[in-house]
Amino acid sequence: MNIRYNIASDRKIDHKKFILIAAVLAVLSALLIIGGALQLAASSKEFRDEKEKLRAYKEKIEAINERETQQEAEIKKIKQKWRKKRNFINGIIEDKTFPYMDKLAKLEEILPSGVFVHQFGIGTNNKTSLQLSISALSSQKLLEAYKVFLKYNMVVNNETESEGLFLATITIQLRNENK
Amino acid sequence: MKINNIIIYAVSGLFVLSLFFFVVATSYTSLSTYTSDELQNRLVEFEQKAKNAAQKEEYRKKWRSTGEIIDDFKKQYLLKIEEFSMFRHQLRATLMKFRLQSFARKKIQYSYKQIFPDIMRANVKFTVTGSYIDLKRLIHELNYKKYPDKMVILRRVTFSKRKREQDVAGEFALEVYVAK
Repeated sequence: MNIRYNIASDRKIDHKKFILIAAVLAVLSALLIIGGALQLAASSKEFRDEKEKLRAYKEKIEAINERETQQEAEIKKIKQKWRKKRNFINGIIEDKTFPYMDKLAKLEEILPSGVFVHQFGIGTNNKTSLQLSISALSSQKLLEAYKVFLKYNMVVNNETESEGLFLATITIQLRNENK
Repeated sequence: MKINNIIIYAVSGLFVLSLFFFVVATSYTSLSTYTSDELQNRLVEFEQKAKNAAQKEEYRKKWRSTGEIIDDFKKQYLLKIEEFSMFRHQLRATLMKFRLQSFARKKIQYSYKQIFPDIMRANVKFTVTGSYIDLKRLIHELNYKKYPDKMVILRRVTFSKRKREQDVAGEFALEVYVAK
């Protein structure tokens, strides 16, 4: 009977198997490297193209933003100019249509008898107020005039009595009736 | 035996490294997908911006056209410089027609103010004497009849009774808007 001893300190290597596994691993490694490299090559080209497009869009958007800022500034300027001129035009149209004749007619209508107008001013700066210098032969007449003018928010600015004449400076509000 | 170990470590190391490289390459590719999303977002943003810009351009054009409205108003309702010269003759002729006497030897005062670069205001002042009715007629003539569609504006009129006279003194302040 033959007794076989294995006194080797390590396992005996099956060289064929060892080489086969090593070769498989090497091939797998090579495949992984090639696969990764191909992916990188493909994606980096796409990535570069997209980056380029992105940059182009960014530039276009920046150009649009800049143009928008310019447009807004121009619109703001035009609006300011327009508002200024519109207010001016509306103002002069209103002044042009100031009803001088109506105001005078109204004054003639409300002026009581026995009261005389010495001076009055009428204009577009004070659209409704009318300053009058009036005189009356008696205080009774002057008070009668005050009574009439009270309906028109009268303010007596000054009143004097001189040589039997009763003089007063008053301000009344003659509103435009058709407004 | 030692050489076998070296081969095992080398092949395993190579495999681990190649696996790592593959993972890194795959991640890089997915990063590229992120860029595609960003690109898409940018494209949408660009299209929106371009649309807004076109609308804003229309809006700007509309506002620019307001200048034409003002130009039309100027042409139609403001006196031109040469017309203003005519106005001055006509004013004197009107005062003569009404046979109104002027204080200070028929003096008519003119002063000018630039309102806008293209619009000037002429302030006209004169004082005349006459009956109350005549002065009323003059108001009507100046403000409504003579220049109904021109911006000749009676700014203020002051009537004063002259001592020991039946006549009334009328102090007139006119504003005439002249387009350059």
